Amino acid sequence: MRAIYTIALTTLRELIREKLFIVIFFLAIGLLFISVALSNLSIWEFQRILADLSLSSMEFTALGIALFSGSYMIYKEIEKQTCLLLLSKPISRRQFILGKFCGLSLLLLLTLLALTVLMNIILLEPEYILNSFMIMLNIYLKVLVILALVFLLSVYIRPVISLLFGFSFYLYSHGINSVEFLIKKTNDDNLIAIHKVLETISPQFFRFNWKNYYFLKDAPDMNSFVIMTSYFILWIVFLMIFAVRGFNKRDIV
Amino acid sequence: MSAIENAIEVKNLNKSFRKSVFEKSKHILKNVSFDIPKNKTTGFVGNNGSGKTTSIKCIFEFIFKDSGDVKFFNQEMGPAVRRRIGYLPERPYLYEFLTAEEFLKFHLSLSGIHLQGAALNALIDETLHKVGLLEAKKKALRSFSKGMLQRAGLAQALIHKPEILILDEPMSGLDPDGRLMVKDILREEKKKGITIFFSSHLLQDMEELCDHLVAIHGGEIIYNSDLKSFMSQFPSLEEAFRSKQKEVQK
Repeated sequence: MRAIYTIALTTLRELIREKLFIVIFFLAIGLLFISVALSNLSIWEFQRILADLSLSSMEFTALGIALFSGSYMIYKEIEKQTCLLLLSKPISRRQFILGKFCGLSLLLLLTLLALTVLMNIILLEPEYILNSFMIMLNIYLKVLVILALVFLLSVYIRPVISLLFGFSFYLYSHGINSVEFLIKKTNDDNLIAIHKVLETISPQFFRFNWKNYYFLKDAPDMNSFVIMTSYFILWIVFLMIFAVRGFNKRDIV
Repeated sequence: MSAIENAIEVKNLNKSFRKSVFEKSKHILKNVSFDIPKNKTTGFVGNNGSGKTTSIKCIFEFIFKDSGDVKFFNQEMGPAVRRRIGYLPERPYLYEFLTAEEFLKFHLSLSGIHLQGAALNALIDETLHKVGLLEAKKKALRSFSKGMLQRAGLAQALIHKPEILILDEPMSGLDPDGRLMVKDILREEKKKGITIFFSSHLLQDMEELCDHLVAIHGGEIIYNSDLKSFMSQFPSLEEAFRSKQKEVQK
């Protein structure tokens, strides 16, 4: 555990000092302020527009960090061979990859926490505070599923492909219902069969999409919260098991 | 030489690579066997692409061997063995946003040594002083020159006071002063009884530093014994190595 902790903290330190992260973080803050400006255009729906735009900004910021940093992280370690120094130490490949994952997860958590606090300051609604953190956790876990997926893919394929695949997977998992509706209209049996397979092997993000004003006002019940948390954690564990297994067998040429 | 006198024993190591599924696999290491005697400095010499780095990577299990056996003090590679080794890869790329101090603390902690406060600072200062980087302690590695990075890499290999040093091209990319410094460090470590195994193209440096020599050509070991015998009939290591290569090619 100590090795994972050490690698995670160093990864976090590295990422925070990277220009890409600083740019994305300030872009997110900028988006929150744009949300304020846009919501001011509406007299009646100020809070709804502000909350919806802010929560979407938070999710896309976290997703951007996860996709870009996640897909390049392991690839860069292997390509630049920085991992050789670490793997020559008494640590396992499992500890290395989990340390990297935890470091990036910590960065995402800190980013989302900062943006949630900022959103609450902008909203100035004390009764939304607890719910906003519940939604933040929902966004965080969803993004961690994508992060675990790009970690797994980047062990095998080029980062650009894993980034694109990760983003497509995110879109598909949110829009399974809409895709199903469209595919059924085509009456193409092959497409329907492909969709069935994809639906089965994809996390159902659309069932737990809480990033809107409705959930900020009325939080999901505890039962839904426990199911959502367990469901995403299981996905993360499942994907990371395969990422570790893949990395354990990979030659670092 | 009895088994106990060897720090590392490599036996019948084989490794093949295939660039893609459409290509035939290439046999890179062919029954590679050699010994690294304890408390001695061993040089690993061979042309580009002869299999030096692949052999070192197989020893560390960065690359998985097809067959063969590697023993460290009669033990298999594992965490206990890794704790006793200091390693510097060829052209080390380091975490460039860390300072030299943070970088060494990180590697010391991963080596399983958890010092705190004054003892930790003293060890870091001592190691940075040894590689001539004490002045750059608080500087980020991204501002380092190639030679400075090489020395920072060497510092992480030395900081946990290993019993074996395995260095892949430790002198490459260094200016004459840097090379001299690395050679002095290796001599100092040798005096302490550290087993050193390093690969290099710079045969003159090898001649100065090594007691034992392992020569590889086309993935096969062509020599594995003491340096003096290898050079006995030649004025320099370079000529001895060329002659051995020609002999093998015939």
